[in-house]
Amino acid sequence: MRSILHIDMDAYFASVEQCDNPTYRGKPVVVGADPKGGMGRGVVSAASYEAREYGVHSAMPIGQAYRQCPDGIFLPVRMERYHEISERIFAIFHRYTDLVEPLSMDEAFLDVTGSYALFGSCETIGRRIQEKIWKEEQLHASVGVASNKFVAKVASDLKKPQGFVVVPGMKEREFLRDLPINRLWGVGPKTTRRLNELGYQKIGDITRHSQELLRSRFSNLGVHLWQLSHGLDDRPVVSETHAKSIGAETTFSRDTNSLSLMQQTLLALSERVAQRLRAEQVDARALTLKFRNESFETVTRSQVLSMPTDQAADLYTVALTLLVKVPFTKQKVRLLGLSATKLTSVEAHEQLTLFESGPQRNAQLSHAVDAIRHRFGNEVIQLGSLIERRHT
Amino acid sequence: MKVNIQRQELLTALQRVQGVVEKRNTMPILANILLEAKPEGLDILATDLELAMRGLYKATVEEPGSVTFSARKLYEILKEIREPEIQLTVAENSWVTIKAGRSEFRVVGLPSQDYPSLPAIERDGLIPLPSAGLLDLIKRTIFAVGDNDTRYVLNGILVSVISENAKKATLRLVGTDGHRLAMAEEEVMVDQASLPSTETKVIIPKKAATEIKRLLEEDDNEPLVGFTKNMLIFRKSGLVMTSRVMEGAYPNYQQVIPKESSQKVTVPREELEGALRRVSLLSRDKSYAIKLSFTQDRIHLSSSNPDLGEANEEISAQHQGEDFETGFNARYLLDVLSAIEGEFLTLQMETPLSPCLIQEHENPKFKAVVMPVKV
Repeated sequence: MRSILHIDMDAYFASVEQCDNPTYRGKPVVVGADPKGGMGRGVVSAASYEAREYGVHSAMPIGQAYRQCPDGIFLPVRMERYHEISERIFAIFHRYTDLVEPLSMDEAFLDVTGSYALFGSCETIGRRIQEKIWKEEQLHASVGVASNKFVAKVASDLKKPQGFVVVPGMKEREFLRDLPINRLWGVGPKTTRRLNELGYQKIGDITRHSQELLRSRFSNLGVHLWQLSHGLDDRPVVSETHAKSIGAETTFSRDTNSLSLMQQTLLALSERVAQRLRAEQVDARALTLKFRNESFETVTRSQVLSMPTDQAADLYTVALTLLVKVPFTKQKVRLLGLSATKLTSVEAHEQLTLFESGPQRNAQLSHAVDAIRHRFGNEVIQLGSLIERRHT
Repeated sequence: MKVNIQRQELLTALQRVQGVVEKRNTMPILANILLEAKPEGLDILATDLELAMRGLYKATVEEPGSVTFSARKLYEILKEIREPEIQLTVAENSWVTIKAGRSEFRVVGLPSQDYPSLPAIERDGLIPLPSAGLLDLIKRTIFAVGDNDTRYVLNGILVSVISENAKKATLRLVGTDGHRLAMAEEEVMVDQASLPSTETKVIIPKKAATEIKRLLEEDDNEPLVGFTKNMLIFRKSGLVMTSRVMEGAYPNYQQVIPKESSQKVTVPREELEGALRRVSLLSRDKSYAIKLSFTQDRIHLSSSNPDLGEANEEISAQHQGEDFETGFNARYLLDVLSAIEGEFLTLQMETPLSPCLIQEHENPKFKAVVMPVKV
């Protein structure tokens, strides 16, 4: 039997902010877009547990959050800071096992089956990790311990914050029995409604039926539900060291059809994506543009790059050609996003070029800019065309 | 319209236009050909709006007329038909009936006026281009031309005519995608008075060069080739092909072709080619990167792929200079080798990260440059 931990940081972004600014502790903290007195756009990225008492939750429009919690502390997203601390937290995970599968920067599965001899039982390891995160970073995590990924994830979520739930082997079915069916992996609001209508309320309601019956009613979904409801899940923990894509997006403060504003925004996004590519030491081999219009219709357009790159100028050139391919229906744009995909590691072989020493020089320039930003902050050095935007 | 035509004649026409008709679905009608039956025969046209091909084919025209329909369907039908003669008839509603023996196909067509009109052929300022040896020059350079490169002009072949004296000139073709470059030239007889300057240049899109190559490979008939400010014109018996020429500044290629170097390696071409093919089997998927180590009398080739394993091979070579080690995309080297015919070739490079000049032994008319890979 395997020993799987699911570790999930509690209100991660908000907790980092509370940790960095002790005066925020115990107060409702909302990380996300600028609420602008309730007129702001964009969404909540994270809410502290204090803010959640006001009904604020992540992905909620920021304006609504502001109205529900006007006394809250609204803070901008400091992604780099969260990444920095995330790296330290993941370093703690890696002290106990190599099999760490990140789900996001604040959540991971760990397979500690092979770590018993060194560190003790899975419960001991889970406790130790939880303590280390608190001691070293003053952050709380919830831990689920089980024989597979699905049950471990349900367990970690059950007693948040600072939860610690162990599901002993062979007790999975019992553990799941009284939980609502939407706890099952892959069951969203639509499926929940459908299952409720058919009389399935709790996970235990599913286990009362045979696999064949569920298959006949829901085909493959039925088999999946039957297996999960019995606590069966044999997906392995896959340690993945590199991100599959690196992206950034911006919701405009006002829907716009200004081409120059879109261009500026794409340039800013190219800069952000390129900077992160360099930080991760990867090159993009393809770029995707995301375009959402004022009616919330979203289209994406992608292109494979002729040369892998981590340079903003290259991404920007391609982004502009992708923008032309967006079927404009005379509607204004609400959101633009860029994501670099098909990432390849830089230290793989670099093909040298015949003409212009340009690329090599641009790369040196970008690295110098990165170093300056790393030391003095992102704002201190900007492209001229992006500074102008602030005055308009 | 009603036409009787030999299957083979029509097949030749359709084979010629396959490379011209648009395969991407930007404008559906560009996947069509235009047929025009005239007393003198059947005119078949295809265009992608940049490249256009018009040929007159032998046919018995019982009733003149015109229609446009899918080039691909007609080609597929012709490939399956065994009867030597085919009859094409077009009804009022533009349906095309293709009859061959006991087979009959009815295919949807469109009125010919829906087909885009071809650009008029310009004759003003037409500069003739010597065609002798053109096929060989295209074959030796086209592999290095870029595909969909963002630096637009790199997707074309640079053609230059450099006057030597009143009657002789050098015809030079250059292709490059920024990672490798090929330059091939040939002495040609040309009337200097027909050339506007001592060095006349034009950039031809890769697609046009590919089609010219195909047409030249058909037979030995010498074509008439020329260009104006905007257009390249290629004409041979019963066939005219025109292409837009590319605008823009071609990069200074001469600057990147290395001069004679102190590091010079001479190798038998076939041995190097075989070794490159074998060793690249275990190179990393996309980069085809392999390592080359040059010592006094041999080249050691190696590749490794963390997921698969590694490969090693040694071939004998004559090397002047110091031992050194560098990396290449094996594909790029193989492309060059396929453009070379001689038994031996030489590689010259100053340092492991500088451009590598590849030439046929004792043949100054072909030069290829490949940039190394950092390994």
